Amino acid sequence: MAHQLGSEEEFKTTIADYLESLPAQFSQRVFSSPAACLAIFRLISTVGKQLIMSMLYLDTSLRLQDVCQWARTDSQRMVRGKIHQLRKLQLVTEDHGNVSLNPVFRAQLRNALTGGGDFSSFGTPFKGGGRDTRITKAQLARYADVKWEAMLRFMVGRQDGSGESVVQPPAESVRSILRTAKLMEDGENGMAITNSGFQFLLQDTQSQVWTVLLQYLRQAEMQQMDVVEVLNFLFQLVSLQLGRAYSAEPLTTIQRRMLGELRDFGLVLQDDQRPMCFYATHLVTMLSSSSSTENSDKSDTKGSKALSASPQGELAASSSQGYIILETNCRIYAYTDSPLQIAILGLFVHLVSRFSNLVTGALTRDSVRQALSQGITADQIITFLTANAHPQMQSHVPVLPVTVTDQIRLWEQERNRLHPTQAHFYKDFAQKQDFDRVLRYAQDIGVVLWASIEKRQLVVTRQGHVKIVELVNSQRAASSATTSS
Amino acid sequence: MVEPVESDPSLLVVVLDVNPSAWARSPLALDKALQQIVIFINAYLALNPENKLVVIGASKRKCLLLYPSDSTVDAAQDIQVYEQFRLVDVKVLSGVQAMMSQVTVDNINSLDERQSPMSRALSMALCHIHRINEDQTGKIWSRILVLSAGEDAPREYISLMNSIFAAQKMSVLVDICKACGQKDSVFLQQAADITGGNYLKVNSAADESLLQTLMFTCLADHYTRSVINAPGSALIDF
Repeated sequence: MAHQLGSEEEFKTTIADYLESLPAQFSQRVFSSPAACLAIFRLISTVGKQLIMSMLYLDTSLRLQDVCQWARTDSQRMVRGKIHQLRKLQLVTEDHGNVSLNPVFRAQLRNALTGGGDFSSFGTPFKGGGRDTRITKAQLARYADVKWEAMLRFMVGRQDGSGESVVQPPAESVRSILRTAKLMEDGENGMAITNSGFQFLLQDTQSQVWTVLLQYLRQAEMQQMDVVEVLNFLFQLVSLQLGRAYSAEPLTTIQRRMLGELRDFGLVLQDDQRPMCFYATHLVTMLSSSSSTENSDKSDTKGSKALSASPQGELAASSSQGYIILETNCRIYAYTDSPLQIAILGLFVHLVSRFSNLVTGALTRDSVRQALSQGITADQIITFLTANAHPQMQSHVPVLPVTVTDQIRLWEQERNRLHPTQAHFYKDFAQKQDFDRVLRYAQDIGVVLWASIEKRQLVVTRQGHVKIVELVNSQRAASSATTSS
Repeated sequence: MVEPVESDPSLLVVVLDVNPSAWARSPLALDKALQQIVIFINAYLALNPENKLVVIGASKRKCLLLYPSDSTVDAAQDIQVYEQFRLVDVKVLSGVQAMMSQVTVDNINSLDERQSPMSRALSMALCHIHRINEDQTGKIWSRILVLSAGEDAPREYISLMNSIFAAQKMSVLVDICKACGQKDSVFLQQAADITGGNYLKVNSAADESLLQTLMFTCLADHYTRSVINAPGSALIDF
């Protein structure tokens, strides 16, 4: 079964499942910070959000029937379902037919909107002297990119199999996350990449970061760490501002350890000379901004980046410009010189020539089939090409030529033409009624794979064979009993 | 007709009526109303990180874009509130303050002064909506929220109806929140009715009643409104 990779959706469902399973006193602790409440609020469905907002400033409780009356008649059941979901997440409490918001959650969400309460949950800024040179956004971006690419190159580099260890292996925490997420496994020559790892490489950066955070949460659970603190810190991370120095003073020991481990991924930058000071990089801050880089690309070129609610989308967008041109004859021209991007392209493209700023190749049947056999799906290839398409290509609708996308899908379907199934083949039935009886019985239990009534031949599955043998034996016993008597 | 999908982003344009003589007559104080509007805006931004916001301030003589604007915001030393909210709140509040202080009025009690021309603000709002739609690659659902305390200006009937029909064509919902006591604004009622938005009157000055009303009726985006009922208005004086 394909391991469904982490994306924002999976993160949401995991957090939701986790919150449902928390006992009451722990959930009070999770809800006790405005940042956590805001992050949890963002995870629930749109209708759920509206229900919560409608009840947020009502101090009395409402009757459940009244709340259901808010919905239109054809959506009543859906709204009831949403209320039930909110109850499972412990955001809404029900008491004798009256519903009201969880009081801790309500108070802290109000604080998040109005700015009261423990505002350090959004991150305390670092005050104090030290070096005068403040870390600039460009420095942060470079640091994050270097670390993240080092991890990705480590994943791709091993695939060559030629044993070259030009790539520096990253820190142990990174490798353990890769191992537990089943993105890489331990092989003879060190770690080797798995099928899920290939899929991970083709995803966009946001999904990759969500996967890492999710895996970190799972690992914390397995190691019996206090998951509430880990969750609170994750929620705080996601709402930090880019380029601002934050103090690690109010963090607990577990959270400080997390800080050290997340530093190896390039998600935060910790100043060596001022260990109490840390910066969040764009990898983390872009998680809370718009999910697709296409939107931020287009609006940034018009220079109106202040329009979207989060001002930190621009740095992420500038580093993810499209660079691939795909022609209708399946030829690819990639304007890049980064070895990581070339290695990722090499997974499914037959690379032909390489210049100082350009790599050319073609999508051939062999190269795509090789990628398919390693577990990459056609949809992932198409999504990857669309997401990294050159801006000139993005003005077309659809972005990629239809001939090429259809051809990739056809190559994928070729692998699905034959489905082998283990089966048993019956022939040479003596009498027609024997055959009819067996056929009817096999159809009743649903194990027929193929039958030919003229030729009196039947193919059934393995499990079906056992049952049919029992049937035939019992009938033979019955008929021999009748003949003998 | 494209149906709204749950995860589509929205664009909200808030038109604030900054007419001091009109607000002097309203049962609601302007500063309290502004505080509640700001919390409402924060709630809107919290719904979906991709939601976009434009705030326009409309006074008798001027119509200014308050957010997003190029005015500089001084960086506060301590973070009192979530940074994204804080930027918006500070810009809106300081913009309204600047507009109010620039209003010089000769005869503050005259009938003319109580009327707030809304058609100018609506046209500006529609232009912004059109521009953002051009920039955006995906589908974005737009609506306008008008907070008004003044009365109708009869001479702008035609221009107002033109903007209302333009909004209807662009499938933009117009919600009206009226804070002027007993009198209804007939033109704005029609605006809400034609475009499919809500018309609300806020009479009481009780704390947070404006906020509760806004949250309950105007926070929902296109998708949620197809699921949850909005309070209907009974009589419209055509």
